[in-house]
Amino acid sequence: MVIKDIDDALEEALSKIEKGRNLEELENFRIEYLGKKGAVNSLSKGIPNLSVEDKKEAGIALNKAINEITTALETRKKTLMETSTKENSSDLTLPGNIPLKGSLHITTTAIREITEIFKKLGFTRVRYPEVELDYYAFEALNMPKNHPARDEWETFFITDNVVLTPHTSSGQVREMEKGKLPIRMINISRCDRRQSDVSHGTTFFQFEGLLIDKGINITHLIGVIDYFVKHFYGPNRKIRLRPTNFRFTEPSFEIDINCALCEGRGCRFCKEGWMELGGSGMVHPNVLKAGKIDPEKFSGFAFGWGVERTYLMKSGVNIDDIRIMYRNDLRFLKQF
Amino acid sequence: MNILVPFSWLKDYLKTDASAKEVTKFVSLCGPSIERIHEVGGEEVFEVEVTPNRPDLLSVIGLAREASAILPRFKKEAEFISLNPEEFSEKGDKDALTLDVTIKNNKLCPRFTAVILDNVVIKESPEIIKKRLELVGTRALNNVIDVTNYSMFDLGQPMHAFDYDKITGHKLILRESKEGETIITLDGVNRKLPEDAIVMEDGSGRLIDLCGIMGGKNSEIDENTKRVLLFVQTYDSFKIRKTCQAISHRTEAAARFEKGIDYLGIISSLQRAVEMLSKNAGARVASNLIDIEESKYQKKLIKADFNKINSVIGVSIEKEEAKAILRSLGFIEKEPDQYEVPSWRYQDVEIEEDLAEEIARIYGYFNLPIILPEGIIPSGQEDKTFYFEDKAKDYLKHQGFSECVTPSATSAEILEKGENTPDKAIKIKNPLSKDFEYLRYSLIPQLLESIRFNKSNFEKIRIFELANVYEKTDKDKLPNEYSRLTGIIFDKKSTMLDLKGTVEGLLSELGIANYDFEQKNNQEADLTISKEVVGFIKSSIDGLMFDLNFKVLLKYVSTSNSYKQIPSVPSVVEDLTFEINKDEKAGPAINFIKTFSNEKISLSAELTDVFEKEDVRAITVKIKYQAKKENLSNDIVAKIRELLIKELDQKFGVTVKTA
Repeated sequence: MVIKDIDDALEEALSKIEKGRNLEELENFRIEYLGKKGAVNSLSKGIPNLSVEDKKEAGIALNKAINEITTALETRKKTLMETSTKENSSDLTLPGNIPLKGSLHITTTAIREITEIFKKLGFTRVRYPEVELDYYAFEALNMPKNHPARDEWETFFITDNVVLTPHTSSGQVREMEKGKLPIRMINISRCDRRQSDVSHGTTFFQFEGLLIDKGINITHLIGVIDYFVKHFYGPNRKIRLRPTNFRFTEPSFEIDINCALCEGRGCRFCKEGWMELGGSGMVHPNVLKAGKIDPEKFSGFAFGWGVERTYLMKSGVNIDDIRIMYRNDLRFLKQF
Repeated sequence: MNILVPFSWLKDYLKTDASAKEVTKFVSLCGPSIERIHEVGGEEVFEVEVTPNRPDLLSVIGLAREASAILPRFKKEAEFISLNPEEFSEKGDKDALTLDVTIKNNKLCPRFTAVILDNVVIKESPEIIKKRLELVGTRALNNVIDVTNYSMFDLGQPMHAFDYDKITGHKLILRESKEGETIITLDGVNRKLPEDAIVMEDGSGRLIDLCGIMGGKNSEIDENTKRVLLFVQTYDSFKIRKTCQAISHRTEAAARFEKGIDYLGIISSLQRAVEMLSKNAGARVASNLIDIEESKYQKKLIKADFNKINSVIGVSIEKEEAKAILRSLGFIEKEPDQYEVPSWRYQDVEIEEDLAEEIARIYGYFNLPIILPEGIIPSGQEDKTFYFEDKAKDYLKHQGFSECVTPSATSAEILEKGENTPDKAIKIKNPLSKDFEYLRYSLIPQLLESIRFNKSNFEKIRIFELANVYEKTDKDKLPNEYSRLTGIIFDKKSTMLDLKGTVEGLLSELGIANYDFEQKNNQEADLTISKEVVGFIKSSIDGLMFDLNFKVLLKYVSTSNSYKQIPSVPSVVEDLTFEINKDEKAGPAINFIKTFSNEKISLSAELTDVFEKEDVRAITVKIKYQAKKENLSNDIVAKIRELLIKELDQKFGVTVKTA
């Protein structure tokens, strides 16, 4: 009986081991059959009760079983390891299995970088309506209805009083209306303008900085913009201010940055060594009043620049038609 | 608006040793931007960008004034040569020619000046006049018309010359037009007018001038003209601008009138024009000077508090230096610290801050130091919206999605292809083209368009967009503008459960746990959170898509992680297989297992296998029984298992096969 049990156990063990899928399973089988509480051991406990001849036979059968199980385990282990080595080593010069590459839109990356720099100066990021009242987009910014200054922004209208905002400046008075001072705001939002050419698409993003406090003057505007430019473009970059005109700032300035390529000598990418960044100025008293802030007590400055343009100038990426940014061709998107 | 100014012409009013390059460089730093120097036939011509607030710079003399104030700051010699026209003698005797003028509303034309000239001989202008007109981009026509155009570019004062004998009855009425009146202007175009354009009619009642914009063909100067009515004026700027927009036509003259004319320059411009006409066309003054003013010119005085001005600029500019700057720009100190604004800057300078700008720009912005503001940093938390937007975007990026940014509006065609209706969308009143006409109220149509576009180059496409959409509300109010997060997977291998998994992973990333998917049909399921529909997942031929109301999602996001103590006792894991009819949903049963917990023991279930048989599905779930403190005996586990099997049968009608 015992001998038959031993033979059965051996057969069972060999059949299982043959199909063993991994080293862990093999180890489990070893414990199951050859371990302290294993099959072989418990069967061996029945041997002392046998007759002398049977004892001898059983002993032989038991040893055979132990040897064959051990050999089978080793053979199977070897086979498993060989197969896995074959599968996993092979030719490492082949390309790896790269997971599908995703990407963020270049404007998202640009916005993050820009926001980070201004956060260091205590600015808080906000966002205001993209479809906005004419009041906030123009009237509150010292541009009454039909004023010629409005021509500078080619605007899409929904009704006479509702527009697609052409600039993030529409957020200035909204921010002021929150009633909290001082203000250090960076408003980054989508804008739309009624123009389409290689340097302008209809939809684009702008970032607008607004700082209002006591005793703010032109030197502070220079300070903040200079800080941004040095952190965004590099420590050796310089800015300069040129006079211009916006109805909602007085004085108003165009900000230029020195050309990185020719270092001020003049080249085909810049104007006499300088490149335009965007507009800025000291907030006009009428705008402060529209925001219920007393211009006798507070003053401030604002600047509004294009996100795409600002960012592209940095990387020196020569995109010849800016509208490609919104065509969403994966061949473009995946590059960033 | 850009204008062209030949350097040689500029020197009529500016004596300087500066080169054209130096003029360009220095003026651009302190005044208008000179964008380029054109070389034309040996002449250097400045291209100047004039901002709308500086109509005085829409002329050669205006630029000369600016340059004369700026160049000395850079150690260049520069002196302004003012205009000194001859005063002419009026003719008021019985032989004098007359003009019967009626102005219906003086506000339309605050100053109307005119003089009649005879003895005119029409021929070509002198070479220098012809050449200069060409350099600034206009055609020379004849000696009389050229004088009017020349004056406009030279002095910034548009003016008009009529053939006096074509004016019926020598009578003029200046009034507003009625809607529908027509006039054939000098360019031969028959224009239909809106109401309230400023026009002049003659004695026969026909219109002879579209004031401020263009003269009428019926009264134009031709080769037979013998007597000329020279007419120099200023108009209501808003009306001029409004009319130009209504008729979609704008001229150089209108561009100047709509921004404002130098009121006190009108007479001297007229005098200079008469001087030129007598020289070039033999003209003789044959009438009185007609000068009708709505009201007398009011001087504009602005208080200059130099301390305040310095506080705007940020540096202390010496009072004497500041005063000298103002003087160089034509500001006259009338009383201590009270400055009279020069007539050519009347529209632009209103308040003290404007004076600060004048002083600061001439002083030189490049002389100002770089100073970071010192004030306190505003308190208050940033809107968490941006944090979660970034999290969602980063998650999707790492799942292989590419972020798209599509334009705010699209075409009816793309809307309809994406199963949206143009009627439901907000329409732009003045679109640029049909491609950008309707504001989107869903991101799906444009993303589908992107899939179609990219299909030709990619087999596996995963795209998403997080952006605002716009829903119609009451007409004159703002639309309902809120953010949505939409994504589409297009490839051969991905399944709806892959898509669902992506969305579930996203929700997990945003800290949202209590959500449900309610299946609507074979292709679609709604995502709900706390019974609120937040979005859906859907399968279509163009891809598998998810579309979520991100604004609502933000109500349920969280960053808080509460710590759950790691159990000190081991768990018991076993497989459980149950069979469910093919047309029934297995999700609820699986979820039920998870809820079969109490305070002492919790169950978790992981789907490991789905096996399709003939009319049933065999669902295998790996169940983990975890106690908090005590070791779980087989008996206890067995008891729970029994209960579980019973409930599954009762509640869901599933048959459990033992593992």
